[in-house]
Amino acid sequence: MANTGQVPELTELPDDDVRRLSDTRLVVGIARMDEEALAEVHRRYGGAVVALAQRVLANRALAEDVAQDVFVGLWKHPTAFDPDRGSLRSYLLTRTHGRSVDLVRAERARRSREERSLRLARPVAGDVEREAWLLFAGAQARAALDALSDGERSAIELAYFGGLTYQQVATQLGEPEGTIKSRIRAGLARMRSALRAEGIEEPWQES
Amino acid sequence: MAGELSPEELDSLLGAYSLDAVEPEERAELEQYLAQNPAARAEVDDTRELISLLVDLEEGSPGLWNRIQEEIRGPDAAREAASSSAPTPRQRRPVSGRAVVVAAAAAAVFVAVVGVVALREDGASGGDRIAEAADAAQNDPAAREAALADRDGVARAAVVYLPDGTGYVRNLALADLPPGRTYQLWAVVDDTVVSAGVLGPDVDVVAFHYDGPVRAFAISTEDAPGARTPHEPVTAEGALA
Repeated sequence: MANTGQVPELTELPDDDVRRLSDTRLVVGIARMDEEALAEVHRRYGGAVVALAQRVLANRALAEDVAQDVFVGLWKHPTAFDPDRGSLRSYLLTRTHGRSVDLVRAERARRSREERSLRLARPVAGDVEREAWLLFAGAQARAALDALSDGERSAIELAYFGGLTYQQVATQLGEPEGTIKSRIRAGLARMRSALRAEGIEEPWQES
Repeated sequence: MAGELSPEELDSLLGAYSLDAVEPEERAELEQYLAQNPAARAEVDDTRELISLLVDLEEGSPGLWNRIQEEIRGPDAAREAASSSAPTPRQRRPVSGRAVVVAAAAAAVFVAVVGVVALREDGASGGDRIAEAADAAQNDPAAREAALADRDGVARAAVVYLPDGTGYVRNLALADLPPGRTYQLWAVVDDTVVSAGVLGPDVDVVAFHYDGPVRAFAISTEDAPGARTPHEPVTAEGALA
């Protein structure tokens, strides 16, 4: 079948400014092979994806490899994102975390872990409302984490940001595995309750 | 290892699982559990939403975007071929969560069309060859088959599908369509519906090729030359056995 030479409508987004489109709309654009839609998703969440991967891997180059995989994965399999199950940001970060811990556990990144350094966050420019919401919700989530008992907080931080299994966390903290398992789940439940009390029950939804 | 943990033990692991902090064998068992337990699934989804808020907002780097762009434009980007051969599509569909699920069908629609049309254009003798090939495929011990039935359970078409992605659709009771209309075959891959080819308005035996982990096939009735997403309800559908 010959190319008609026409610009395929498949690759177009609506005329709206791409920065004003909802995440779900952008994923529809990606499914239609619109590169600008993927660029916008990267602009919105690329920093968070790299930041999380870097926090787990403690290696900028590996973190960017993971981020590249995550965004190319969204390009190739946009339908794997189910908007009914949560936000695009959470979806991307879940995939980022899974890949990062796989690498950590394969010990590819282990030798660089002691080089861990904190990086100053640069706020994202762009959609003020969405980012204001994320800043607010992020601050509430951190406050909820800080409000946990030391045991709960350290178990969650070691598991999530340290990329450890709960068994490894137990070994590191010198506690029984069952205790760590319970602390993680109870701590997370407490954080969810705290956020609900602040009115943060649903992910950011754009109109 | 499957089935070793009790529901209580599985529930106790939901927090650690949400943080990717379980061992691979526990993960496999939990994923089976989550597929059947919406409350547990919701706990994991909510926790991941929550935990994602702990990650700082930062701007993506231009260097990273350049690498991503290079990869999606590269020879390994399987979806690119479809965009360059896409004919004028039909009217845009309204955007919804459902649209996200089916929109990826666009990627494969017109790639598959090429192969199907080539086989149909051989004329009568080509048709015979396809029928012979379909018979041979049916006798292949590695072949899988699907009976595609309508909503009343009447089998309308049969699909034989080989491990290399070659398949054949045989008309059992699909009526000829008027001009401007066509049947279209869809492969169900995981939760995604992907076009496996346009069958034309008068199906006898049609060959197609779609290489992927297909679990079911469906046939829809569309305006020619075919659609990016299936018109629902589909005409017939059936799982591969």
